[in-house]
Amino acid sequence: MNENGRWLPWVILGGATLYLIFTMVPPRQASTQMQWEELGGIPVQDGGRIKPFDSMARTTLMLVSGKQEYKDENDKTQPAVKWVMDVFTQNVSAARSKVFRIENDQVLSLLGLQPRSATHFRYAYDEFKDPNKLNLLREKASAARKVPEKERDAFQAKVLETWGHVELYRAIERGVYPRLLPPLVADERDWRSMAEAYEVIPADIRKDLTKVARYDRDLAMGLAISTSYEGNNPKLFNEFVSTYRKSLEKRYPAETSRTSTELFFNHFEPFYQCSVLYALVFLLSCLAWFGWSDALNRSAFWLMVLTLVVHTGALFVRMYLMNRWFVFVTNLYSSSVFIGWGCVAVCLGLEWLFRNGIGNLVGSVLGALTMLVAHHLAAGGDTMEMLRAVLDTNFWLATHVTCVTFGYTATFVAGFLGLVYILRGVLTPSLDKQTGRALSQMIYGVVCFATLLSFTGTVLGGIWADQSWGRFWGWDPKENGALLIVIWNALILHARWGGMVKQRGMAVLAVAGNMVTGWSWFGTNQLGVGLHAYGFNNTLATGLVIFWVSQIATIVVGMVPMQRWASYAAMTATVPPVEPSSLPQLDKPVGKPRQKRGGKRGDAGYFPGPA
Amino acid sequence: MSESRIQTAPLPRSEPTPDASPSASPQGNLWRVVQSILRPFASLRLTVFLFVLSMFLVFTGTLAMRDSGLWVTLSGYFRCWIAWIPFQVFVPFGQVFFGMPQTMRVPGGFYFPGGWTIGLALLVNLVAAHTLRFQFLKRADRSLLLQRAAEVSSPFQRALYRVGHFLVHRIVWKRSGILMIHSGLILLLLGEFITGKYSSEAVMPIKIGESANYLQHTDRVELAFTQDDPDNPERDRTVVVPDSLLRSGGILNDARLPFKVEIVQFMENSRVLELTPGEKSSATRGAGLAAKLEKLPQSAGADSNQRSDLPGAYVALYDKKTGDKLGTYLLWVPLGEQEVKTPKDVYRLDLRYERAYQPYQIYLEEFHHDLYPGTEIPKNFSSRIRLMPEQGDSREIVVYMNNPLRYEGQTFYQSGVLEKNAGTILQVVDNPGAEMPYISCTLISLGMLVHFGLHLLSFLQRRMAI
Repeated sequence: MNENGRWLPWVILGGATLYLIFTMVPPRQASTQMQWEELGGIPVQDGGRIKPFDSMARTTLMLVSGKQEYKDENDKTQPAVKWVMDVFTQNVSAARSKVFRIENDQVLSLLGLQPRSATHFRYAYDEFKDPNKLNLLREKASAARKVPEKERDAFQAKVLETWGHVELYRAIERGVYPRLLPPLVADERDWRSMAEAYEVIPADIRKDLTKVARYDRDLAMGLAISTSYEGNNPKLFNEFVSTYRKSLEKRYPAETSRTSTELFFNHFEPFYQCSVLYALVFLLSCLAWFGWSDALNRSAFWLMVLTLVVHTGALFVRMYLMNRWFVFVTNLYSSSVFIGWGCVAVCLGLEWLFRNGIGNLVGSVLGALTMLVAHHLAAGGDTMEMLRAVLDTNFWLATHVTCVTFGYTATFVAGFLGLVYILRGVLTPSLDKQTGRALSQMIYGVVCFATLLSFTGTVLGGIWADQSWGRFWGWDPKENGALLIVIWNALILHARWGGMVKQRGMAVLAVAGNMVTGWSWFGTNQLGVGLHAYGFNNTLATGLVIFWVSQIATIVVGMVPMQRWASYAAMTATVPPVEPSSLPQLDKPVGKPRQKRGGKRGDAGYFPGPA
Repeated sequence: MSESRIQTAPLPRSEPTPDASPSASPQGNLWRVVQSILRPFASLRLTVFLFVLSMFLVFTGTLAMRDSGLWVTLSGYFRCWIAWIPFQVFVPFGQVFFGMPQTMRVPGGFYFPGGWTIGLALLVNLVAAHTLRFQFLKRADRSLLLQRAAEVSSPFQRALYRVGHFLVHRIVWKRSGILMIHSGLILLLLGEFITGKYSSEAVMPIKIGESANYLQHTDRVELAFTQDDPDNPERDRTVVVPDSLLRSGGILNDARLPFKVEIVQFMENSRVLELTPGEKSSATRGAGLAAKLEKLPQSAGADSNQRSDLPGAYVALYDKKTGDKLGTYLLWVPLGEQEVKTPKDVYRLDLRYERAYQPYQIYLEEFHHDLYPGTEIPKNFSSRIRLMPEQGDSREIVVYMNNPLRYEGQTFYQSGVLEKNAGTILQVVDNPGAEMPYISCTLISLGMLVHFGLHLLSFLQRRMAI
């Protein structure tokens, strides 16, 4: 092996670690400025749980504008908490910042707005706050609300959405949202909004904060913070914020330790960092085709291990925040994050076994793709939302959901291995006998794994259903989707056992498995029926169609007669090519020569690693 | 690595199984005949073909559920021998994913093997394959275990040694996983068949502080004529017209009924609307004078709020002797009882879900509907009930989400809540096949672990050896 490459994995790992540490450190603002990070750490009650003000602000802004930050009227990027603060204090900046995303042209013309792609269809409240326009919007929205949800057309859905955003904005403005203040009586569960607390204060003393404090200390602190913000007094503002946070920390130690962790989580954005690193892994594995492949593949492998560690950590932090241990999946968003995690883990295992760079490639692609999907799913609001009553059981969530999601994961991995088989075989001459056999073994093994997990997971779901509403099998769309995956995997195995398919056929079938899984994961939700339809999202339908079309295209390509495959010569060669062809080393097992039987695996040289 | 290594034992083509010796004995010949008959049924190609059919059926059934109810889909697709699949079921799919127009209607359809046909075919396929491939290892007549069995005197110990001998020397362990998977699968198919045929689901709504002693089958209705029992003030006399008669409509003249009854119109799902000015109600007496019934499509049974259909009907009553029309009544399940007065008697007329009276009463002591703080998201529903059998002691139980009560073959689940939190709705399921999935699934999962585990082990061994 190339001795020169020994240092490369270390350098890349070191670089990545530095990058992660760098992004972990929270931004420090000068003490003469408002400390937004501090303000964001104040706990609020929203969506049934206590979360940092920062999370609430981010999800609200995400709903309204599709981003977690915004540009103020001077085009300066600002944190979400500042926007909420501006809206609440009725600062002119809030109404002038372009945050309302309105893309539907009918809604735009209703509000007398011009389609404006320069600001990505984001508009300032000022642009449509004219009462006539808002009345029109409200009328259309209440008309749309009367139409049953399934029958609404795009305009009705968008009008309702936009009106909902306006109502949200106004609720913040009036101080009825969010529930910022802890209950006056310690054992009450419901927190109070500023407006709610303000109302019960006698009118004659409302102006005098010290008197208000005698009634309601928290309200007085809240008022002090907003007054000092209005008065543009950063020193006082920072002082009030930190005093208030400290007083809450004393009274709610468990909650505040969670909110501080969540604040760090928001800031670090571990899943975003993971997607960056997965993209880097992908880049390294691609580079490995063009030379220096041993060192690059090793680097890719170890970088993927590091990323998986971050990914795992992030999953566990989420569990801590939700206080549901070993519950990996609670909604569509978390299923995506977890499927990504599973794919990467399975691919690392494959890479460890086969050492041909394919595991790195497939793992990084799937890791990055699922992160991308998750990013889009996060636009729906809080990703750690509360679970409806039936779903509120940690045992079944930890067993059934985890298992069945792992089944999806394995089916996807098998499908992407099939993609690699077909695309490499058809488009490049690099798929020789040995690589083909290795890929086919990988697909076979992963399909076995997928069958086991998807079956067990589906059945656990049945048992849960039997426990909770007396039907082992309810023929619910989501259950049926899982059943399709099980049958499909079983079909692949039986077709292979019966000799109906060989390597190529199995690859094609595995790719079709991607379509089945796509249907089960997202498609059934799109149909909008069923107990499991926990995530409904219109843009997903388009994404799914694109995905299906791409898979069908690959299947068609895979059906091209073998003689036309670029790798035909390599696949039919009686002797494995001694001279590596245009994509050298990729499929050559690196490390000790194969003939050395009985050699220990540890000294194979491929994974000396940082261990 | 050779391909055959990861295959399971292939179908024996001409070579007989070890136990069936190729001699020309009559038994051997019979076995060959059986083999030649079974072979086409045992083919793996057939298995794959059936898998494709079942996937198509499950997929179309899922699509069909969007527009027709769960029960309609169940009986029309999965729990039947032959399914009729209208082309229309593919339209929602096109609407959601390919933007096809909302109003699109496609006529026609095609027949397709129903769930039971496919299930039976799979069963035949499976049994045939296993009969063909069934094999013991060559009889090992002498083993240490058999020797020991001959030596010991206790019959129990002897049996133990014999079982040990059987397990060690006569079972093909390589195929034990497959065997477990497939026998589990047979159980699963049978279980679903039993569930489909013999299980029943009903609900039991109880208001707080009241008790109930009957179940309601919400997929069936009955028309009840109730009269106070003059002999026993605590009891009523009731005559009911069953669901099937109501659906077929027409005129009912039965000696047991107090009136001649005409089913003018019956709707499986409906709602009551106020009359618009100038409109006239079809009802001429009773509670529905200022209202009309509107027919609704049957709701999706797997709806997230688990709503049942609300049947309604217009029913005309005639005097039995004179044939005079007493009036047309608007009946609707949520409406409750309406009085029908005749010179002699007072009857209470009610279109209600079919009732099944039980040998016990359930009294609802408390009901809780918890929400997450500051939201409308339900966190839990729980009912504290007192179960009062006709004989024996009563007891108190709390039924909540994922924690049902099991009693006398019936299982009571927390299913819903009455309007304004006035009480609970329990779902009561009686499923004789309820245990089968548990057994079969354990078998299958273990079987897969064994089977794939053995493969993985041998693969890893070979891998390590490289």
